[in-house]
Formats: sequence, C-alpha cells, structure tokens
Amino acid sequence: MALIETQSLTLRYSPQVTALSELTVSVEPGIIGLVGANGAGKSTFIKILLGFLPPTTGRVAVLGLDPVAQGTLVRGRVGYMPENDCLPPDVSAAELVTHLGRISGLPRTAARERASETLRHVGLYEERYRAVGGYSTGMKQRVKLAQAMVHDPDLLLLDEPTNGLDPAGRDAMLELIHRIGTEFGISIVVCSHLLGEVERICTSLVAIDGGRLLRAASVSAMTNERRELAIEVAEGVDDRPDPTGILAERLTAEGLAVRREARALLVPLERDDVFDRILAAAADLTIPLHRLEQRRHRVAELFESAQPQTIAERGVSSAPVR
Amino acid sequence: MPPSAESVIHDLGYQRYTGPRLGRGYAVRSLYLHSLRSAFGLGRGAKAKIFPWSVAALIGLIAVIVTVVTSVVDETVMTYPEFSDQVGFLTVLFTAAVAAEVTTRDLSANVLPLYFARPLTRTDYALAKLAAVVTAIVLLLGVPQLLMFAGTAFSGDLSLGQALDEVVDLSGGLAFSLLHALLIGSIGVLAASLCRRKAFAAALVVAPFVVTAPVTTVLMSAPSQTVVDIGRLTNPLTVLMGVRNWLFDDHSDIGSIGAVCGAVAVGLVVVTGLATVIRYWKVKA
Repeated sequence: MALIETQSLTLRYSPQVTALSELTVSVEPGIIGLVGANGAGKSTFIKILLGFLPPTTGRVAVLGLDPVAQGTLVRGRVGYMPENDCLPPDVSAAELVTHLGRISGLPRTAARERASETLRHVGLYEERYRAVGGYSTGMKQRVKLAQAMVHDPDLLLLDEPTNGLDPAGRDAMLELIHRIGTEFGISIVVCSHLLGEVERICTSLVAIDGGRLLRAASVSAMTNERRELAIEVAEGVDDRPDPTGILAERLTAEGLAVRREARALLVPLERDDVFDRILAAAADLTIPLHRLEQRRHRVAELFESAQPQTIAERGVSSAPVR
Repeated sequence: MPPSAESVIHDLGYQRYTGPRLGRGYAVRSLYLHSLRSAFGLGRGAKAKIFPWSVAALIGLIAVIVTVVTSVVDETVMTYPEFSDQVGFLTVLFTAAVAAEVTTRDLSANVLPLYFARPLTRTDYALAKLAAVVTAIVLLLGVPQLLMFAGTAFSGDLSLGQALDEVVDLSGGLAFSLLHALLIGSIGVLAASLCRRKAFAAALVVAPFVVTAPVTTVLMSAPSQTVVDIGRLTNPLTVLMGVRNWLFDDHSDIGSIGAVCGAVAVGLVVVTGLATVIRYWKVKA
C-alpha cells in the first residue's frame, strides 16, 4: 500500500487562487522530502493530508484512508509538526506532551511514559520539567517534534522542521529526523525549501512548484540515472602539453560523451565497458591517471537540468553539503 | 576497564506503542477534564488559583452566613434558586476569569493546530471547552447549596416530610444553577474565544452583563409594565431572575413574561453555543 496517494489533486482557495493543481503522486513508505519554494503549496499539501482542507477536486489517500471522510482515523495515526510557533509558554514540556498524548488517545499512564520516552529521544530529557517559554528555538522545535510522535504515529508530517535553527541545530535536527525514519521505523514527510538539506536524509523526493508536481522519485533513482565518472590525469609528467585534452580527444573518438570540467573529465556511465575503455585509452596513451571515481550528482543539479526554467528561477536554494 | 554488570547502559532504543488507543470520545473527555482543572488553576501556578478560589470562597462564605442566619431566625432567608440569583454578578466575574483562562491559552500561543491534528474535531474542542466552563460554574454554585442543605439538615430537627421537601428544593436549586451555568457560561466562552489576550477576553465576557445593566435598571423602574418586561429581557441576569420567578416563586406576579424569559434563556444558550462552535471552525489551522 502506498503511504500517500493522490489523483489529480486540486485545491483552490478562490477561483483566482489555486494552491495545488492536478497533483498526481504515489509515495512509498520512507523519508520523503517535500521540496519547493515558499508558497509552492507544501503546507497546503500537508493540510490536505491531515484533512484540514478538503480538496476542490481530485482524490487523496493517506495510509489508505480518506482524510476528509475518515479524518479522525487518519489523525489518530499521523503526527503533525506545524511550521509556526505553537507551544504555550507557561507549561512544561513533559506536561504538554503528556496532555497532547492523551488527546491522541493514549491512556493516562501510557501518555506520561510515552511523553518522557519521546522527550528523551529528541534530547530533552533533563529539561522536560522546565516551562517551554524559557526554551531556545532549537529546544522548542524538539518539543514540537516530540508532541508529533508521542502517540507513535505511522506517519510524521514535519513542516519546515529546521526553521530558525543555526547550522549546528539544523544538522542535529536532520540527524534526528533521519534516525526516526530509519531506526524508529516511522515514515516521514519533511517539508523544506532547502533541497540540499532534505536530500541528505530522504529516500524519495517530491518537488512541487507553483502548486504543480515537478518531479517525484526515489533519491537513488534520481542520482543513479545520471551517474558519471570523473577522471583526472597527472599533468606535466612528460613533454606533452595538456594530457587531459589528449585523453579527451581519444575518448571522444571512441564515441564517449566527454565533458571537461576544470581539470577533470566527466564521462557518463552509460555502458558497462566505460571503465575498461578509459583504462585502455590511458594505458595506450601512457597518461598516468590520478583519479577515476564515480560521481553522484546532487539532487539539486538534477532538478536544475530537468526544469531549468522553474526551480532555478523560483529560487529553490540548496544548502551546502557539510 | 571491562564493563561490569552495574555499568551496562540500558538503551532500549525506540519502542513502538502497542497499547490501546482510546479514540475521539476519550480525547474529548481528556480535554474537558484538563480544561476543568485549569479553570480552578489546578496543575497551574499559585497565581492562577487566586481568583477562582477567592470567588469560590466568597460564595461559600455567603452560603455559610445564610445557613447560620437561617438556623438562628428559624425561617428561610434565601431559597436555593434565590442563592444562584443573589451571587449572579460574582458568577459573571468568575466566568470571566475561567472562560478567558481556558480559551485564550490555546488561542494566543497558536496551540489549536496541535489539537486539530488529533482525533477530536473542532466542534468537539469547542464543546469540551464550553462543558468545562459550565461544569466549573455548576460546582461554584452547587457546592455552597449542598453546604446550605447540610447545615439545614443536620442542625434542625427535620421531620422526614420536611427533609424530603428540602431535597426537592435543593434539586430545583441545582437545576436552576445549571441553567445559570449554561447561560452565563456559553455567553462567556463565546466572548472569551473572540480575543487572544486574556485580559481583553475577560473584559469582553463581563461586557454583556455590565454594559446592559444601567439600561436594564432604568427600564425596569419604569411605571409601564410593558417597559419593565422589555427591560427584564435586556440583561442575562434579569432574564434568569425572570425564570426563577416563573418556575420557583409561588407568590410571583411575573405572568407570561416568565415563560418568555425561559424561552430567551434557552434560545441564548443555543445561539451562543452554536456561535462558539462556528467560531472554532473559523480558526486557521
């Protein structure tokens, strides 16, 4: 069963304002990155999944359930971390998470135990009896995450979980989300306008832009389809000028689509014998190889080349990979 | 040093929850109880307890005084329904504090999306809050009446018949307190839910009772019976008095306007209750 399935999902706030348009996507369990610029429709999509907004037309299923007709069931099995501040300042994290656990249907004792456990998992065990109002932004984000998973949901919907965090805080939050998705076995949809951020932790990506689906695929499929070999050769070993150029000429003559990038040559890994042919050519020309490695494209590049007019122009930025 | 038996760290990792999930009804009950507790400042700091408990103590004190005076003069100084009416304005003040406490906390900090992402619906949320405030008012008015009853029952030498009469009177008084609670509570929760700031919310709760009071006083002192009757309908508290005269006062000459007061009271409860539900459907999540 697909985790989330939509069919021509459209949501219009008014005849003029279309938030989502003809979105058809099927997502398998895992960590799903929902990327797009601010205003692309990410939050709207999340709210439809929660049953907050009924779609104007089209169908949507979450965990095989209809969020409009079966909203109570869906919301019992889903956890939601909103983008904005949503924590009352004068209660402790333990108290708040316990209370919300009960609202999610956990019996009193179980709610208290799960609240402590969850707060421990997000790294707030020591501070859990302090009032939330005194917490730092990073701690508040962790409380928001804890309340979303106190009832052990099957699916977590995280809206911009790294908002307002410093680089170290972002890394910690992403690592935590990755751990929840892999070790805890909870599927996660994580919304972000920072592609570079989510591609590090996600198993698949859904990119939307202006309310339309841009691309949806698993991260490995996206990167595999564009594998390349990077070749660097030793310069100045003998008298020949520009050995890189000589090798490039030879490989082109062999019918490989060689691209030159600074001191490296990039060859698409289309056939199985590409490795062998490069090695043979280099040996034949007696050019020593410095480096021969498979390069995985960052997903950001794939989006750029797939849709050069949209994502790049609309400013989906990617954070540097650390 | 090799790890000894004592130094083993027990990290069990993440445990999936396999216990019962109690669903929507339980969620609503939990929210109701949580709100009722916070109405009296339970589970909150000392500051949150000051106002509700001062009002409760004051009303309790009135009940004690009534009981003592009754036993001394040996005749009824205040019936149970009269008691609710007499402390009407204190009830309004209590409601202002309580309704503001249980509604603005979630509104001002934007907590509602966390609730709405859970099994309960917006209607459930609104009704749970309303029920909590109504219950708080019933407790505020009902417990002192139980005190009065206990005082009467245990101090005097009541015959069985008198005791039964007293129980009937008490039941009527408690039923009337419920009407008080429903009317003042539903107006209070609606008014309080329109503000995000607690102080403004409390002021807005008191407004319908205070702003209309001078008008009501002027109209009700008019020589024309029609004007008096209209005046009676301009303030929720005088509406409630009209209902009491109509239902519980044997010597009242209120006439048909009593029934009108009853209809207005019930109508107001329904309308403000519905408006509160609609108000919560409008909250952005």
